[in-house]
Amino acid sequence: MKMDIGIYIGFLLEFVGIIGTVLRRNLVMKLLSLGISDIGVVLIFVAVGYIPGARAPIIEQNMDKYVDPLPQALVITSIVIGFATLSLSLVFVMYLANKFHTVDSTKLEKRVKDAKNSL
Amino acid sequence: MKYLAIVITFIGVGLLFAFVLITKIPSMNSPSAYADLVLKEDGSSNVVSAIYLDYRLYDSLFEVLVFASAILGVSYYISHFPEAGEVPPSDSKLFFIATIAFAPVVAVWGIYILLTGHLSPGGAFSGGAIGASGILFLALAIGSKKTERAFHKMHLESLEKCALLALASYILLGAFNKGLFSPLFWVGTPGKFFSGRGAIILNISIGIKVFVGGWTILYLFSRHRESV
Amino acid sequence: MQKILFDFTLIPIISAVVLGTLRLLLHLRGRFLSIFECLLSVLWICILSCLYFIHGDIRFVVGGWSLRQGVAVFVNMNSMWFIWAFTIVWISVKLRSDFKHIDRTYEAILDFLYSAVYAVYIFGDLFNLYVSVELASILSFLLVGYGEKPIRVWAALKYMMMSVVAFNLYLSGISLIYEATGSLNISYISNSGISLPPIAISLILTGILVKSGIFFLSAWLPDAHAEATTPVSMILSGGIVNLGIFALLRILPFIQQQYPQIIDIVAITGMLSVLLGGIYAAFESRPKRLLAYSTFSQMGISVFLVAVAPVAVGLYAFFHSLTKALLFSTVKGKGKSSKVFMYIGIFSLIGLPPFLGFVAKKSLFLFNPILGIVISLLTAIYIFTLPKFVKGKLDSKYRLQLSEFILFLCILLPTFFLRWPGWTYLVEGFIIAIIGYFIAKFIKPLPFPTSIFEIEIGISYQILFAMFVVLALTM
Repeated sequence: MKMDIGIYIGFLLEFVGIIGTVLRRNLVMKLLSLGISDIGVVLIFVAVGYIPGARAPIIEQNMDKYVDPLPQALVITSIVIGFATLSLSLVFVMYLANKFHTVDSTKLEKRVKDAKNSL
Repeated sequence: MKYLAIVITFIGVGLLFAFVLITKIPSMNSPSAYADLVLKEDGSSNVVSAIYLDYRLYDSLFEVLVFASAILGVSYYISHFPEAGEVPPSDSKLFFIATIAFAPVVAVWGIYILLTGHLSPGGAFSGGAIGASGILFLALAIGSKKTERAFHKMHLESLEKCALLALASYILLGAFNKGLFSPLFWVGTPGKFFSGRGAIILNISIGIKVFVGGWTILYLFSRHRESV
Repeated sequence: MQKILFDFTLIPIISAVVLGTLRLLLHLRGRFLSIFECLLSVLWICILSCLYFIHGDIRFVVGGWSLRQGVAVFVNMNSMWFIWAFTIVWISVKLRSDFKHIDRTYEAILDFLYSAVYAVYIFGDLFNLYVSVELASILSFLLVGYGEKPIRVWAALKYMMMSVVAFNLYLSGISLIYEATGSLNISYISNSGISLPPIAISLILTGILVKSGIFFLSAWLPDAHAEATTPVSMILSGGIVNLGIFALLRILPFIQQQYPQIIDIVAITGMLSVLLGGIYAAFESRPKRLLAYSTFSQMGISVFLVAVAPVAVGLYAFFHSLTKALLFSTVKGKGKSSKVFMYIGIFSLIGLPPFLGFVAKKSLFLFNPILGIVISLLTAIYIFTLPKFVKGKLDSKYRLQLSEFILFLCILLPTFFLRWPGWTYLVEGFIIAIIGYFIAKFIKPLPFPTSIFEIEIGISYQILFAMFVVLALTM
């Protein structure tokens, strides 16, 4: 038996994040939604590696049942990548907000195009 | 158009989630096999550390490069808009004493976690992040300007690149050595400090990278906090 | 002995990382180092090619671990085509001298990009694919925003949001595949024969197609490719979009074993992109944007070929990378030689001899002659509208761009070593080109809606496509 409920909640979080990205017009909110989506993926990975009754994969004496270590190793990578993309896009949002004084994606799209045409 | 997109997303996500719910996947992974292999081949007690510092080292190399390029990007783009100034030293005496007392503890704890990543839970990323947050405490107490000046004297930015260089040269040596990343006698006795092939070198170099990178990003964001 | 030779496949990754780091550490920015890097990369690729031709497909696990634990290397003919294509485009970008913002950060980013893209082409592991494609994407976000224009940063932000969503879908698909098979190795998965859940397949396919420049899915493409500076546009259109095609080429065989209908889905997606991208390009008046839409169209052909004739994809991607890089390089060129090279790029894209397009388009005609004629005619129409909109005063000083010359040589020379496709193709090609030229004369620019390339709508396409694939696989 696997921890299916973890996988379900992970997918739910991922999809909620995607809906947030589409629904909210505020760019900072969009980034927060992407963060939720990242967390959902991490939860899916951890749930995939889980085995009931098993311990953390640190080798000790008299222990023979460990959870799967590979998803945990992959999760480290995906967390770091999520951190990198989010911090980078936050800087982009700060740059645009500083130039155009808005974080609304619709207004920003219009103002950026106008600024380009007026040059 | 946008409302249509929202409706489509809701329907699509609902349907995909329904498919996730009805999918029953027979599990095929047998993780117990790792324990014996790791004891024989790698020598780390921490199997996760053995995987990301030995079996899948190229993943970790790219991960570190992702981190490095994020730092490059943040420091390049953030220089294009005005600063809000440094974080001032704290006014509250209580806060000052508490953070000053707490910062070294956190930093030492980070170093400990970093060094024993192959024996217990932890490793380079967690250790580096904990260390960076310790320095954040210090910056809150004495102000970010003094902290940054102290770090500038230690040539931390060069150290960061040297750490990346050390990681790359470790892998390069491995590439000339029949693809094994270090000589076999580095395996050591599992459970002892000197074990796990190159785990200590790798943990230190990745840890320095994460520590300096984390502090750089925190410092840059704190300097531009109110400029938007 | 063999194993020591195999280690040469891994060295380019590390040497690019070391050189890029040294640039940052020692503040190097001389052109001498750039030339040294180019020579070094050519040397490594030549060694790799020799290894490939002596030994055939190269397969081993890094570090000598077992197949389930380690990261496996798998180099085949397609990898060689893609590696050569990227290396040539990368060298021509490195040797350009007219970029105002060249500094050590930019050069180091290019070095890291080389290692990331090279890694995608040699490793055969689902998770390593994710990490290296993600590294390449992050570096290309940085490159798109380079130069201090807000519209570039906005294009980079859009690119980033859409690709983060896409690669989260890809990653969750991988996790389900790992649960089903217990491995991330592509050849292990395809040999095991375990049934894979349709939801995982659809998530992975969506994630990869978003990266590969398909009309609806890659809604980030026109802004990012058209607004970036010229060298960055070259490397994006000539190198980064190929990553998606290559990943598709890697994963499609093992999906095909269980779900044969996936071929139809991929082929239809590609064809849609060919037609819509071509129509958008034909009525566009800004040269760089025209070329970006043309990338949609050509990538559609590549995806179509992945489905119907996987053997031909390597050559097609090679041809498209070099031609598109040459075109992007010349539309903003000031010299007389740039104009000449632009026409050479145009002829190559249509498929006229003696350029590479002539050989590369043959597989399309072999699959279905009528389809080949229609696609070539569409290509001819939109690409012949390009010279009308390329303005800019000619500089009186005749200056030959080294990077354009390299691309020109690499488009011209390989044609003589490949098999002659036959005289009928030559006649067909000339007739199509002439008809296309006259139709292009009468086309007036017409603004099509660009609001379909916004963030929200781009993400909703991804969800729609994933839903559609799941339904098609279960029915």
